[in-house]
Amino acid sequence: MSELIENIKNKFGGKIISTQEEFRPRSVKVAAADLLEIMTALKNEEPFQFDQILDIAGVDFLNQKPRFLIVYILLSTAKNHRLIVETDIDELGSVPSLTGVWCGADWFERELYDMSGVKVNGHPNLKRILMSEDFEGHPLRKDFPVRGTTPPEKRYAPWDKRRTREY
Amino acid sequence: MFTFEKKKKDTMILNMGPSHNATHGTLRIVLELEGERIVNSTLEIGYLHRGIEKMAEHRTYNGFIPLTDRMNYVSPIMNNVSYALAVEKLLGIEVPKRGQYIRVIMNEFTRIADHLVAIGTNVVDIGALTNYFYFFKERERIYDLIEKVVGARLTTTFTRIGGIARNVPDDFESDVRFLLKEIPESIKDVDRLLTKNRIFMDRTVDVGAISQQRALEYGFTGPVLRATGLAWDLRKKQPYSSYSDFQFDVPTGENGDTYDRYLVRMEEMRQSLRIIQQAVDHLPGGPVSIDDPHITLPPKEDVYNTMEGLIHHFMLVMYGIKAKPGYVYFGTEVANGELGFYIVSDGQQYPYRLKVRPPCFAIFQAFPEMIKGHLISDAVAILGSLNIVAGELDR
Repeated sequence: MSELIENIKNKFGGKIISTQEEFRPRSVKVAAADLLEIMTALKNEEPFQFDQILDIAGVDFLNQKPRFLIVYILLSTAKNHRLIVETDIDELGSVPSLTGVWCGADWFERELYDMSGVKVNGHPNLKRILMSEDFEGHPLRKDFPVRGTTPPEKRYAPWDKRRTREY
Repeated sequence: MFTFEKKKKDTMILNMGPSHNATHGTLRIVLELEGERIVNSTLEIGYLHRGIEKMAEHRTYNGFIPLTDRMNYVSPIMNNVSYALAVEKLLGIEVPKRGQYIRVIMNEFTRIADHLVAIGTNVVDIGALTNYFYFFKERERIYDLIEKVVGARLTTTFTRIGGIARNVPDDFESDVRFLLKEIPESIKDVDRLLTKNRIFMDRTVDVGAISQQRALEYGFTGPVLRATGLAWDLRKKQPYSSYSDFQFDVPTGENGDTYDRYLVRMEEMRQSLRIIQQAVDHLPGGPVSIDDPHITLPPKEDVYNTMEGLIHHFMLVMYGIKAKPGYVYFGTEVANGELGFYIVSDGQQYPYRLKVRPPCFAIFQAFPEMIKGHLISDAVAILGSLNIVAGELDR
């Protein structure tokens, strides 16, 4: 077991649901309710010092329960190590906003909401970021079709009968 | 509906973009102005969103490489290399030394090309046109080399999983040495024109400064973070692709303003040239790709003449590479910062989920904070110095 994972286990004890050291970077899984407390500690406390949040990703396991795996990728420039914090939530669940811990989480959480449709509690401005605001659906859910949902443009060249098929 | 709430009374709203000369891409900035001073601003992005992450879930690992060209179209080779390294990490393989060195050389040339564009267009926005021509002359030469090596100038698709597409041409080394001789001249010319230039310094010193603490919280990486004084470079701190073999320095700034970003980028180009010099001096022989029929295509002679070669070729083209279930996150130092790929595999030939971590995305969200209290013309200078590339920002 690496030193980092050991420190995390000692510190948070029962709040860590599972740890994983086979893949890189190493990851810990926590409950969504404990997320804010653990992230604050991971940022501020001495053995961790994760001063940057690099990315937030939502992974949709359509037929599993709970459905979503939310992945927080952290980097410490002070200690030169990385960690992934994962949490499971179901379709109606939500994750707490980390904008109070790292202000840079703002856009990543908006993207998470936009793409995966995961609610983020306490976010100051939870709007769509990449898609337009009147867009329906969340593109990176597995039940969203790759072709999209907007009806295809019908008439490309009205004078040309061959080209009036749907694309 | 896009809504904008005014923070003050008697202010003017000004819309910049999504198609504007100074945004260099489709970004929209809505500014609230008091006279010519910016009190408040809002950003709107997503105009270039093409759903690359969704498309990745339906393509083989090799089939996604052409899409990475379209992310940061100023330095496509770095995206190719970054993605290939992430998948190789997932598969647990390592490219032969020669392949790594050629990747490093092309990577560093692209980094120089990216910085040339970043500085060139930034100073054009400020009003200095000559430097642009000095720099684009060199960029053209770098693109000629890229064209010679990969066959395309912009949509390179340079790497394959497990190596690079093909070996480099015979005169590659002499071309590289020619560029190593020519590029420093242009950098020196621009250095003489700009670095101590009174007008340029007035426009950039203390403009768009951000503290190191804030930069870290926002998730800044790359030259913009190094300009605040933190020597954080993944090539040094977490070396990949043989970067530990080379001697180079990591330049840092002090104030984190536009001028420091310019200085950091200038010095990084010189350091990149140093890396290329060492790589080409010690360029090893041997294969450029790993020899594993489940990952790389067999040589054409084998495909035509042997049964196994034909089967391997067929299987790889039809079914692609299969990665064992798991995940990986791998970040590399590209011209703008850390470009990372988070890939979840469920054992199929397609990634189950692929998330791109673009460096611009974290940097651009700090833009309203950086331009607050400055003039509109300063906002243009700051935007240029951040080198926001819309293709990467929106994916």
